[in-house]
Order: sequence, then C-alpha cells, then structure tokens
Amino acid sequence: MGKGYNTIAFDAAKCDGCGDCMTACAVTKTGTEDISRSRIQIMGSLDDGFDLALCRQCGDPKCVSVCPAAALTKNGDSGVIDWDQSKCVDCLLCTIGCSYAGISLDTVSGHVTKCDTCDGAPACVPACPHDALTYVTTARIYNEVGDWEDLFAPGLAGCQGCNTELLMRHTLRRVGPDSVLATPPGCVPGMGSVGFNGTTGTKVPVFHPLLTNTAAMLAGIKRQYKRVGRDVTALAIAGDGGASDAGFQSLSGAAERNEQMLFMVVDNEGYMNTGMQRSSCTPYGAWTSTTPVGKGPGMVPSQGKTQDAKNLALIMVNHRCEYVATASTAYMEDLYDKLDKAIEASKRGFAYLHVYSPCTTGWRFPTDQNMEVARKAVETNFVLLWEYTQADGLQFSRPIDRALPVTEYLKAMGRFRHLSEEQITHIQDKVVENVEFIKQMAQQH
Amino acid sequence: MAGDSGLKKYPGGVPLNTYHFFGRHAISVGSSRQPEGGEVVTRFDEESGRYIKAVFKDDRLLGIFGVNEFFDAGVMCQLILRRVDLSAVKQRFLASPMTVGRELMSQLWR
Repeated sequence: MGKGYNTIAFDAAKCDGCGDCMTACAVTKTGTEDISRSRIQIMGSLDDGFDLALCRQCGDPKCVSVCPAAALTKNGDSGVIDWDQSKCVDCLLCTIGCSYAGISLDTVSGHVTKCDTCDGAPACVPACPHDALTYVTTARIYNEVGDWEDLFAPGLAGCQGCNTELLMRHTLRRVGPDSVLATPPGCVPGMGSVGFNGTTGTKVPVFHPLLTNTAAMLAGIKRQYKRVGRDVTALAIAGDGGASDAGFQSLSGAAERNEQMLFMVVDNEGYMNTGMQRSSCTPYGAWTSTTPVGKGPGMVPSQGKTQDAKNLALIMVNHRCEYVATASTAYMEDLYDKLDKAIEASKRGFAYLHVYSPCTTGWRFPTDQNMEVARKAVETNFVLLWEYTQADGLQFSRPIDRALPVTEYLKAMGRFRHLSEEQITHIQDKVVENVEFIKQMAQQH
Repeated sequence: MAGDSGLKKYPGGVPLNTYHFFGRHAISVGSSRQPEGGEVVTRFDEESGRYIKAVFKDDRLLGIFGVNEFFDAGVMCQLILRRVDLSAVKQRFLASPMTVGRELMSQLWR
C-alpha cells in the first residue's frame, strides 16, 4: 500500500485575504514580517476572491527532476520536497519545472524558497482566523490502516464508484480478526461478504441472516461466545432497508436489551441491491423505481417519494444506546474516531453507527463523484454528523453554521433532477427543521 | 521507422533557460522571435536594473524574458503551451507577470 502524506488544504470560500498566514510564515521562516518572503502566497483571484500559491509537495515533482544539483528531493517519510541549501547552485531551474508557483526566488537571500510544512506543524494554519487553511492529517489513518490485515477477500463485486467496499474493508480491518460478522440481504452480501459458490468472502466467521432477524441472531451468537468464554466483537453491517424497515423490530429489541454488539448501517437511502426501491430512509422527492417520475396513474403526476425520510439514527438515540453516531466516508478521520468509540462501547452494550453512503447507480451520479456527493450532503446539512453517549448526550461533530444551500447537494445527482421549486423548498425547510430539532437535543446536555 | 502508423509530427517545444551574468539573473521562457503580426513589448527600469521583454501574437504569450525580474517560469510556460488569451489582463500582466500569472494559474489549472 502506498504511503499517504499530510497536507495543507486551502478553502478559498473562507479566505478574506487578511494575510495573517503570510505574516506567520514570514516571521517563522525569515524573522521578518515581510510577507513577500512568505512561502505561502495569498493573492486576489480573477473572480474577486482569493487564491494561493504554495508548494503542493507533488508525488511526481518536476522541480526535483529538473534540478541539476540534486538539491531537491522527495522525502519518503514526510512527503515534503526537501531543499538542501548546501547543494543548491541558485540556477532557478526548479522554478521553471514547477507549474504551480510552489518554489520561487527569495530576492533577499538570493535562494529559492518553498514550503517545508514547518516539519509537520505549519505556522500558517493556526494563524488563519477563518479556518481557510487546515492541516489535513488523514494520511495517518491510511498509513496505519495499511498495516492491518484486510479481512475481506480480494475483489468485492460492488458497482463502479461505490464507497461501501471502502467502508467494509476499513471497518473490518479496524474491528479485527476476533469478530463475527452478520450481513443481512443488501448490497454488502451482494458485493460478496458472504462469498460466492460456497466460498466465504471474509477471513472471519460471517453469516447471512434474514432482513428481519439480524440483530436477534447476532445477539444470540454473541451470548453463546460469552458463555464459552471467548471475547469477540459482534458486528453487523446492514443496509438501511435491513435496519429501518424489515429489520427494525429485531434491531430495536437488541438495542433495548443493550446487547453487546456493533451495528453499522450503510445508508444508501433505498433497496439499491434489488433494483433501487424506496425505503423509509429514502428522502422526500427522490426518484426510485417504486417512486417513479412521470404522468402517474389517473392523471395525478408522480414526482418521486412523497414522504420524508425516517431519521433512524435519532430513533436509536431514544433507545439510550451505549453509543450512537452518524458518519460519512467523506470525513474519514471523524468516521475512525467514531468507529473506535463504537467498538469500545460494543464491549459494554449496544453501539450503533449510521454511515451515509451515496449510491452511484441508484442516485444517478457519475462514478467518480461518490466522495463529493457525500461531502456535499454534509456541507449542506442534508446529513448531520453527530454522536451520542449516555454521559455527554448528543453533540455535533462539526460546525453546522454556514451551510451551503441544499440545491448544491440536490443538483449533484440525477434522482432529484425532476424536482419542482415547491419540492426544493420543502427539502430545504426540512433540512432547517432537522438542524433545529437536533440542536435542541444537543443543548439538553 | 518508415511507415510506422504511430508516427506523430514533433509538435515543437518551449525553450527554457535561466542564467547568471555580471551579478544579474536572467530567465527566458519561449520564443524571442517576433512573428508576423506579433507584438514585442519591453520595459526597462534603469534604477533597479529590471528588464522585461514579452512576445505576443493575438494576445497570446509566445515568450517572456526577464533580467533581475523574477516571475514563475513554470507558470509562464503553461500560459504559452495552453495558448491562454491574455487580452483582458495584458497591461496588468506586463506590469506584474508573477502576480497575474499566479491568478491565471489558480483559475486555469491549479
């Protein structure tokens, strides 16, 4: 597995051009407040916003390949392009190689300068008063996870662009080999968790309960393991149909009895595995094969689902589980924090993790857009990321202010393409209502 | 090889160089020859010793050359290769090729 690296990320929408990052860099690197010597350069963009010129620490760095003196090298551990002054001949060829203005001449010192991320603690990032600069440390997860054993068989048969394989592999890697996995009918076994033609899809015991009895079967198995003195994690990976519709009775029962298990729901907002039928988690207005769009019978036009989605995660909070959280694969650090807490909580009682999973095929968006759709869902507050524990109550995992309009999310996919103005207004109002409702719950503690 | 179906015409290249001389620093990107219908703009500031020469055709950059005038040569090379239309920003570009080059970079390929 290739190594991942931390990186400085820039959100142009949040930048007001104050220049504090440049001052911080200049002070740190040159001992002066001369921002022209800063290695991060914020400048006005052509559309009256702001943009930056900063070394991207490229994976295939042209500055390194054109340097005749081997003064520039890619550091395999940190990912930073290191500059060695003792070798540099000040020829500036690197500035010709770089198409991103990431390395340039410091006229005071007469040498080229470039960002070295301050050895992993960039001074510019904390200096930004608007959080426009962030130091993304997600790479730690990938490097760490890469060392754990992948407990699924190679070659799961998901649709192109589906994020569920990522989610399954990461989750089972983290939960580890001492586990029993239950995957009720849905995309997860459809992709091969239970194997094909008599083979198994995992390196841990896996079984295929009915849609209706997943939590009940898993509870029994966990209890039997406890009886014989074996400490295993009972893990379910179910779809929203297998949790919120047909499987809800056994799920609710297991949560009420506080059975020791980790129940993960991969919510793709419908029965996507069997042909994209609507579920109780399908949002208002969405096209599915059973909530079609068209003239409709009896001249009553059909415009997608006419009911709002059930908020299953909130219902689970009302079981007062050991741990309940919502997560998204667009926010892997957050997902990992929650997974760790959920695994820990599952040793004491019922832990529930609800992961939003955009469905490339059923939601109708290009296969390279899965993470972007997931991100937009969160950025518009269509999906809210939070966690609940009995001790701390419900808490938001990220700021919910300054949300984008919900249309930014809706227009990213085909299943909402037919929406009327009224329907969009309904969805936006529902987003606001949801936020207010969960805010109230969050403030009770 | 003769008759090779994979043969492609050499599309040309962008000459690039940087060099020191007499305590000055020069950067050259692209072609300095003025084509028919082309335009050459030069600017020289005696006090600072900064010199710049830029060659355009149809408001597209063909070459840019500076002495003691620093600009991002890699960015200029992209402007030439991408045949970026500079008509809207030409005067600002000549006044400050580094700043305007970076703006265009952010908009076009960053």
